[in-house]
Amino acid sequence: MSNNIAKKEYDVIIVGGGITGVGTARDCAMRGLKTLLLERSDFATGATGRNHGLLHSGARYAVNDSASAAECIRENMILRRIASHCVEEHDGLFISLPEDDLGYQTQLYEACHRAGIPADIIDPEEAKRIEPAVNPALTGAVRVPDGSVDPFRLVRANELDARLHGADILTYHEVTDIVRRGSRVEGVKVRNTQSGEEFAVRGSIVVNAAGIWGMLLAQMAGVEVKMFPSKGALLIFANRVNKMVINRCHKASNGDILVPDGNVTILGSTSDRVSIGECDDMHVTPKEIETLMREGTKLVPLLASTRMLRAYAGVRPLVAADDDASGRGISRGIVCIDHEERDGLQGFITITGGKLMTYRLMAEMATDLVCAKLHVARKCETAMIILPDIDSKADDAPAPLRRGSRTVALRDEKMYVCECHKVTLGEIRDTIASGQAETLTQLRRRTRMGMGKCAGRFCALRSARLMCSVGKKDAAQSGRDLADFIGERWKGIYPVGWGTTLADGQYMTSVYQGLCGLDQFSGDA
Amino acid sequence: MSFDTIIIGGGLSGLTAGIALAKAGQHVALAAAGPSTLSYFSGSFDLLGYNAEGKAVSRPLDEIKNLPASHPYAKLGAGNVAQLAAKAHSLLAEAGLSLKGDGINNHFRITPMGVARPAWLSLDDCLTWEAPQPSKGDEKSPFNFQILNIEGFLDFPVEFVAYGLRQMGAQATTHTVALNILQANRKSPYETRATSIARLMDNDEILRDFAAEVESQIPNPQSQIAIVLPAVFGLSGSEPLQKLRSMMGVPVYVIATLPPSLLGMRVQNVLRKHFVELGGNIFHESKVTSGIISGGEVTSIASGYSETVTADNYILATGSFQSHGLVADYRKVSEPLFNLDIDAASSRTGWTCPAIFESQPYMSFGVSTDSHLHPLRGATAVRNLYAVGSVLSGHNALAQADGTGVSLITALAAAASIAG
Repeated sequence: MSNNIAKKEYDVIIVGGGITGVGTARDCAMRGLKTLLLERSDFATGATGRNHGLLHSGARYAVNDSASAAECIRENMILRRIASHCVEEHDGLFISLPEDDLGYQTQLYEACHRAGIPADIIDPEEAKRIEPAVNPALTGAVRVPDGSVDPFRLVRANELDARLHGADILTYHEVTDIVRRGSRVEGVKVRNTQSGEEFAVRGSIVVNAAGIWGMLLAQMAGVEVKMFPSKGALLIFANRVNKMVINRCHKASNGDILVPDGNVTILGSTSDRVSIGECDDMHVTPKEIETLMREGTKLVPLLASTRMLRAYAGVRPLVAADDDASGRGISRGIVCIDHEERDGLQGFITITGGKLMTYRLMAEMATDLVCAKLHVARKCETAMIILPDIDSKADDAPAPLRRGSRTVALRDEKMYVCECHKVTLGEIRDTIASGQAETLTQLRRRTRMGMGKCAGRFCALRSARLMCSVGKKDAAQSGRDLADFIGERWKGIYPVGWGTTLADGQYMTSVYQGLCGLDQFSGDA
Repeated sequence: MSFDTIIIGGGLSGLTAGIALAKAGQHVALAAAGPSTLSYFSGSFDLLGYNAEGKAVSRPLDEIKNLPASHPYAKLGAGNVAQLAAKAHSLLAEAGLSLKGDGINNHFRITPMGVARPAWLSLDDCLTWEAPQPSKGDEKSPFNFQILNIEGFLDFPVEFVAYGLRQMGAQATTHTVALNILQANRKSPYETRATSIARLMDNDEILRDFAAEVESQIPNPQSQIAIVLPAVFGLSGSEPLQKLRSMMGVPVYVIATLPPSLLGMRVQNVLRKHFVELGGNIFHESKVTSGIISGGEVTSIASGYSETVTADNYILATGSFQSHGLVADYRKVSEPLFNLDIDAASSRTGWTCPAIFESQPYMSFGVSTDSHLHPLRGATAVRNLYAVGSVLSGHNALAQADGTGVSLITALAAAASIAG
C-alpha cells in the first residue's frame, strides 16, 4: 500500500483524520482531485470525538458572533438533509432561571432572527410540557432548531464517500516533515506508526487540517499559526434525561448545555487554556466535575441523581486572538489561511477554527482555495449530494443507523455482543473482518460497543475473543488490548466514581479482575 | 409478622447465616432484593488468596495473624476463623454442593482468561490444580487439554483459556461444537447465555447429542487428555456434568463463563433449597427500604410492599456498592437502611485511583463494627444487629481474594452469636 502511495503524485495531501480532514477529502475527491488523507492515529481521536455532539442551531453564538451563528444555521439545515442518519432532530430550549436577566432572552431572540435562526419565545408552562425534565423554576424559554449529531458516524460517512470518489486514506501514518523546495511545498514525509516504515509522498498542495496539532504541522512548514488550545470537559449520563437540548439563556459559560443523544445525555462544557503538551492525554479534574455538576443541575435538577457514565475532555482548536484566559471570547469562526499569500509559502493551506457543525463549509472553503490554485473549475457539491449509507432506513434499528444499506449483509447474526447499544455479532464480525478495526478502541469508535452504561463489562471480552477468531489476532496481543481497553474505560469512570457509576465500576472490575484475572494476564509470549 | 431473626440480603452471606440459624432451630426470614454477586461466581470459594504484598497465599489460615486489625478476620481472631472455616466447609457440603479442596491448603482455579488464581474450595466441576502450574506426568493433572466452545456462545473465550494453559506449559487445542437445538436460539439477540443453555442440557437427550458431537471432534481420546467446557451444566447440581463424564470416559472440567454464572446460580439454588428445607422463609424480590433503631437496638424494618416486620435479631447482609448495601453520593459514602457509621476516606478524591487494577480504596469501605460484628451508629454498637459479608469494611475482595470467605465466616460468626 505505502509503496503505491509513495509512487503517486497527488493534487492534494490532507493532514488530519478529524471531521474537517475527512470532509475536505470528500470535497476534493468529488471535484476530481487526486487526494490523499493522512492521519497519525485513528479517525476522530481529537476534538471530533470529544465534544457535545450538538447540532447547533447557532443561537449560542447569535448575540456575540452573528457571522458564526449564520454559518451554523445554514450548515444545520444542510446536515439534516445530507446526513440524516447521523442527526437527531429534537430542537432545543434556551431557558432563563430566576437569577438570569430576561433582557438577555430578548437580545438572544432578536439576534437569532438577524442571523436567520428560527426562534420562538415560549411560555414557561409550555416549556415544561414539551420538556418535562427542565428546571421547573424557569422564567422564560426560547425554542430553537438545535439537535444532536453523531460525530463518529459523520466521519465514517465522509470517509467512505471520499474513498468511493477515489481518495486514498491512510490512518496510523504520521507526517514527520514537510518537503519544501525553496518557497514551495512539494509533499510530506510520513512514518507508519505501526510498522515504523518511513517514506515521502509528493503532492501539489498540503492542507493542514490537524486541529490543535496543526500548529505543530505549521511549524514543520516553517510558518506560524497561533493556536489557543482550549480544554473542554464533559460528563456523559447513562440515560436520556431530556428530550430536547437544554441551554442556559445567558452569556456562554461553563456547564450550560445539556444534549440528549441516542440513549445518553451529555453535559458540558468547561473552557480553560491548556498547553499543547497536555492535549495528547487529558484528564478531567475534580474541580471541573464540581463546576459541571453545579451548573448542570440548574438546567435539569434530576441530573443530581442520574447515573453518570464517564467524564472526558477535548481540545477546541481555537485560533488565538488575544490573551483571553478562558477562550470564551474567541470567535468560533472558520479560519482558512492561504500561506502563499500570508507567508510567501506556496502549496500550503491551513483550515482551522470553526466547529463540528461547520466542518462541511470549512472543507468547501479549503477545497475552493485548493481548486483556485490548481485552476480546477468544478464547483462544490457536498451540500447537495447525500452522504452514503443512508439510502435505506432498514427495519433492524439501530444498526441501520450506523451501517445504512449495508445492514442487509449483517442480518444473519442477531445476537447482541453489546447489549447497551444493540451491536450484533454480525456487525462486530463485519467490522473486524473488513479490516476496519485492529483494536477494541477502533471497534468501539466504529460500532459504539463498550460505550454503554455497562462500560464494556461483557462486550469487551466477547469482542476480544472475536478479534482472535475473526481478526486472526493472537491471544497474547488481543488479551493485552483487552487490558488496555478496560483500563481506558476506567480512566473515564474513576473521576466520576460515585453513585451507580461506582457501583457499575465495581461490578466491571469484579468481572475482569476477580472472575477473569485479567490483571494477571501476561501477554509476553 | 415477627421472627427470631431477619436477614436482609439474599447473597452468599445472607443464605449462609440463614442456614446456620435455621439449623439451630430459629424461626428465620430472609429478604432477597434481587440478583447477588453470585451472578459472577467463579466456581471457587476463597478464604484469603493474596497477602498484603499481592503474593499468592498457600495456607490461608496461617496468614490471618498477619492481617491488619481492621480486617473482619482479625476482629474475630485467627482461632475463631479456623473453627468457622471448618463449619463453612461442612455447611456447603451438607447443603449438597460437591467440593474439592482440603480446607487447609489453597489450590488454583483456571479463569476465563486462562490464568491461575488461588482458591480455597472449588465446585467439583471446575478445572483446578494444586500448584500454580500443572505438572507433567502427574496422574491427577492432565496435560493435554481439549477446549471446546458451543457454536454461537459468546461468553467463553476459548482462545484465552488455550493461550493461558500453553503459557503454563500444557498442550491445549480448541474446538467448536455445533448443536442444532441452539440454532433457533441464535436468531434471538439474548437467548444464548450460560443459564439458557443449561436449561437445555438438563434434558438427557440433548446432553447425549452434545456428547456425540464432542466425540466427533475428538475421535480417540487417549489418556492424559482432559476436556474443558464452558460452565453450562447443572443449574441445581452437578448431575448433568457427572453424566457427561461417564458418557465421555475421560476427565471433563468446566470453567466459569461471563455472567450469568451458572455455577453461581447453582450455589444460590442449592443454598436456598437447603434453607427452605430447614424451615427458613424467603421473601423474594423484597427490598427492605428502612429500619428503625431506638434505644440502641433495631425495633422494626419496612419494605416497599409488606407490613412492618419485627424480630429479636437482625442481620445486615446487603453487600457493597454494586449490591446497593453501600451508597456513595457526590459527597459521602453511607449505609442506606440504618444510616450506620462508615469506614471510608472522607474526600472523594481518595475513593478511587487511576489504574484500574491497583488496590482501589473504595473496595475496603464499609460499615464499622465492634469485634462481635455489631455495627456502630453514632459510635455506639447496635445490640441486636449484625453486619456480615461485603457490607463490612476492612477487606478488599479483589486485591486479597477474600470476598466469599468473609461472607461465609462473618455469616457463621453472627449466627453463632445469635443462636449461642
